[in-house]
Amino acid sequence: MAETNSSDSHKRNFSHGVTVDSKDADFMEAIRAAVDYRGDVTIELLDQKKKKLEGFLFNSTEEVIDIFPKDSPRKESILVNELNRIIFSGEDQAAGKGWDDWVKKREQIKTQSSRLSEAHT
Amino acid sequence: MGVPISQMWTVASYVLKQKFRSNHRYPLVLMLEPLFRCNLSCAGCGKIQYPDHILKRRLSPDECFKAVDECGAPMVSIPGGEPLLHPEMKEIVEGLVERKKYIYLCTNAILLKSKIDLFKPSKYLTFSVHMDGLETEHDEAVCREGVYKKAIEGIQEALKRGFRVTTNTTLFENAKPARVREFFDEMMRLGVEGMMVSPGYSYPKAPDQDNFLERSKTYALFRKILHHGKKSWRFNQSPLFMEYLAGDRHFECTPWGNPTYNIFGWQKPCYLLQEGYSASFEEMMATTNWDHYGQASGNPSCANCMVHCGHEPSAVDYTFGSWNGFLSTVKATVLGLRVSAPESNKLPLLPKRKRFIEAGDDSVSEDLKKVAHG
Ligand code: SF4
Ligand code: SF4
Repeated sequence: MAETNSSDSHKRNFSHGVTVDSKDADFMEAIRAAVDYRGDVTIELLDQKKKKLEGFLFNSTEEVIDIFPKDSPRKESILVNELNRIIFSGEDQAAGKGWDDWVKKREQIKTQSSRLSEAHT
Repeated sequence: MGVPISQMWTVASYVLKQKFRSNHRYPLVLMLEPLFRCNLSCAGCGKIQYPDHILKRRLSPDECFKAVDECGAPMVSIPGGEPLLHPEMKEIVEGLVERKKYIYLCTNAILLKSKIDLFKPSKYLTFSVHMDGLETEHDEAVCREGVYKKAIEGIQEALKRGFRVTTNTTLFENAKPARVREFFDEMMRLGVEGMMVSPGYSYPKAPDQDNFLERSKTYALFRKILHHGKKSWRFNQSPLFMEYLAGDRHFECTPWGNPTYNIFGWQKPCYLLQEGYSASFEEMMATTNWDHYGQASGNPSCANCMVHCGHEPSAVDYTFGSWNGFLSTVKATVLGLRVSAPESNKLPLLPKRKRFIEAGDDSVSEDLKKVAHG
């Protein structure tokens, strides 16, 4: 479900499904979050005649973003002031695979195996 | 130590050349990541979580050669993903050997035995096999049973055919020193040229000044492992870096020592952090704000980091940058590594951490939490 309203009072969590408008106060923050995001994003341009672009956004400055479009071998650089909206459209491939998740998983496996060995003795 | 004389000579003369030119920021090992795809999915690895179309992309041999020539480092490490999945790895390795680069092809070795015919033994080529411990620990770390056995088969085949083989091991807080020592014995029995070890990369969300505790844990772990280390153990890394891991000396990070190039470009500032990309090596060196990195910078992302890719080049620089460094290296090489006892209170003197001020950068980069090893 798309979330389009930004609020100054709390920081938005830029996760799967979130849409950020270029007029939103946290638009630049959203771009930085999109660079960190391990899923595809959809970029809508202000120029309605140009298609919107879906791909992996991997680099940004205040002026330009670099994206690998899903269906093209070449990277594209787009001016930030040409962007209309950014949508966190693709699934985050890193979700649930972070350090903390790993530590938790290892602990679970250990507890399970010690329970099993206790049960066998 | 396990590094051959010819390689030591190449590295020494390269570093001295940089010193004579007063070049303080020079690359030592290029981290060339030709693809992110892997045939394993180790929990905690932050290198492979990308959408499928990114995992399908790879650097061409020409792109690899251009990066290597641009950078000029005498050594090239090829991590990944799994480099042996790259269909043109043979060409890439041949091109680098032709350029007389010392290559460390980092592999989980699942495909090593089946792909070994693609390669010719050379003093320039080393298979650096990912081994996170003995069978139980390794298979647990890579989340698949049987991988340890497969890797051992690969190592044995490569050694039989005359290849240089080393191991690379990432150790985490839960490592058991006695088991790690057994693992070292086992690798030596197998006959690998040398071993590389590094602490893993774990980052609490918002580390503060208490991070020293984290460092002390690393010191304690490596003291337990390396104190009274066996003469038979050979390491393929700087002895001063190992003294650093055991808290017997301190090095600040020199992230430019291991620059990283991959399908996105030249990664800023290091192998672990992804804070932007440049189109050329020169641009990356010139536009990265190096003062923002390393523990003394106060950057929370660097507070607990002691990984080899940031700190081993610092140790090598110290070896060739001062008589003290040189003599300490010679001493450790000739007499063997001597690190403080686990019960010792000795701690290195760390430079005071600066207050890290960067607008909008008060939390740890998400990538740090994703990357454990890779
Ligand atoms: S301290 Fe670690 S995270 Fe920071 S720049 Fe150096 S290698 Fe990278
Ligand atoms: S740690 Fe290495 S072997 Fe494991 S998934 Fe990552 S790249 Fe592959």
